[in-house]
Amino acid sequence: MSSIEIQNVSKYFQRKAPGTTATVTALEEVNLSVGHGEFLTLVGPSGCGKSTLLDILAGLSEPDAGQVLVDGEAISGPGLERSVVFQQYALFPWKTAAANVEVGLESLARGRRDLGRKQRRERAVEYLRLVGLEGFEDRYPSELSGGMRQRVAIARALAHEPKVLLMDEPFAALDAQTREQLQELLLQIWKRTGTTIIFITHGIEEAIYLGQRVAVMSGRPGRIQRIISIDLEHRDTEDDVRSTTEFGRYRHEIWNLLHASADSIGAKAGQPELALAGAAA
Amino acid sequence: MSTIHVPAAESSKAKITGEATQLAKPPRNAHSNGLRKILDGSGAIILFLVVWEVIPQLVLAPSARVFLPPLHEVLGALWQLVASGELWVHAQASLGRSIAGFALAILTGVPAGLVIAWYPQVKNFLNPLLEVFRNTAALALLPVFTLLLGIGETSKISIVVFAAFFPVLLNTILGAQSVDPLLIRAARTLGLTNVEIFAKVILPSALPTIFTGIRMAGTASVLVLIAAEMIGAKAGLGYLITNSQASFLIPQMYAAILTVSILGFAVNAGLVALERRFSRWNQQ
Ligand SMILES: Nc1ncnc2c1ncn2[C@@H]1O[C@H](COP(=O)(O)OP(=O)(O)OP(=O)(O)O)[C@@H](O)[C@H]1O
Ligand SMILES: [Mg+2]
Repeated sequence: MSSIEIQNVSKYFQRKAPGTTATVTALEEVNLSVGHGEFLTLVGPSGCGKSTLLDILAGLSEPDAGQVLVDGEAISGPGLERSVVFQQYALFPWKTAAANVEVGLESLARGRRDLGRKQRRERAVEYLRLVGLEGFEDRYPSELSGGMRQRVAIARALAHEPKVLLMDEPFAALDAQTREQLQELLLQIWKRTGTTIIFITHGIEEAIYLGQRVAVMSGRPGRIQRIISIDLEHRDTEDDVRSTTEFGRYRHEIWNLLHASADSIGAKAGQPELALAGAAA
Repeated sequence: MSTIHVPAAESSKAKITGEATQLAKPPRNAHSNGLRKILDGSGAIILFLVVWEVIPQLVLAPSARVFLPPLHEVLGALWQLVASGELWVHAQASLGRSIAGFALAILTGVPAGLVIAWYPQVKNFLNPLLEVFRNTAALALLPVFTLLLGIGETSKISIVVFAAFFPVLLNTILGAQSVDPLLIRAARTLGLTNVEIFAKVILPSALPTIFTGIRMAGTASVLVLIAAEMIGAKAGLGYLITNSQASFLIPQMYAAILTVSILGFAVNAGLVALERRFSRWNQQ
């Protein structure tokens, strides 16, 4: 339940080729504000800087210009009030599901008396139940399916009650059915906790289905191209909201934006077939 | 060999030939599945022991047989060494030295490896030197150790440390470097400090590789120690081997050799079991 202000954020990378170093502009003057408890999805062509932006929000890397404010305060480094869910789960393979969920709690418990070993375990079990993994507490990640691993990762990200949840293509590696289950789960959790969520995806439908707003990025240099508010009237009544005409309109609009920017990138890079993997799917 | 031990030797011989008959008959019913498993696992060893027992008696001339006594004579000598307590004295000496050296190597090698891996400049600087040391056979340095440290315990433990240190150190560096950077990123977002990342992320994910190094070190430390004891010592299994040979107690020499290989085997099996226990998550 925090607001996020991204102000004039730019990020450059030096790419060392033999002999020369080229500067890649990953992000240029990105501005974006996300409201308290908002669910914002972020789409854009591959390589446009989405992960770079998320890294900066997480505090894992610093912008070369501009700043990020969370509740009005500039961030410096990672913090427990901002949690990250990665596409590749990033679970600690030598820890059980419950022990993975407890990692953030252990950091939270530093300098606090009310979060002993027993309470942490209870909290971990509670959050595993929240993501539908009751009874799997003592399983190692290698003993879980991809969908279950991502559920553990979500529980781990939520257990210390962050104000912001940052997700980088969290469901991209999952099969369609599991992905839909987890989308549903995420919406439930969001409604229940009111956590501010920034969710990166390659899937246009996923972006429309989950987001209150969809931020569309364009690449080279990475910029926010357009922000589209999603207003699906029949969202709660319709069984299959993805097949309604309003949903189709949003999909078409975003598809056009992405293709326009992909064409321009293709023209620049001299390769018209530049990957827009999954975006059209 | 004193006659007192003949019955024991005879009975062990009988047991082994009995197993040999089993070996020839393929098991038919489900009952013998367990036996079959044992035979699958150690059939070659049993066959080897049988050959050891039979060949000296049937093929070798009595004069040659002195140098390669059949298994039952060796087992008899082994039994005598056990009964007199002599074997334990020597095994204790060897075990004490190898455990001390091995433990020292782990206690210094693991932390040093973690630190070196954390600082890439240090690693790049030291790496060529470490490669040279690693590829220097520890035994080649035995005279140096003897010159500098004498033939007492210090020089023997030192050479074990030397032989065990490099496998541990190099595998620790390797393991610490191959940590998935994504895990470190995840750890940072979960509020872990640098020290905690060391202890809770880098060390555990390097552990399987470290254990490989520890196992290599275990084998190396037994090997080097036995050799060192053969050259200059007053106790220890290596000393027992050379001393038996010099005293022409040939079955006893083989008994000591057998003990060394059982010891090496046990050390390795123990370390493998330990490794399993610590990397249960890594089984698949
Ligand atoms: N560490 C780095 N060093 C050099 N260049 C980098 C680095 N990280 C990212 N880049 C470059 O920055 C640009 C943006 O990368 P980023 O990973 O943020 O894209 P993305 O939008 O997340 O792509 P995808 O959708 O494929 O995940 C790319 O051109 C990439 O090559
Ligand atoms: Mg990315």
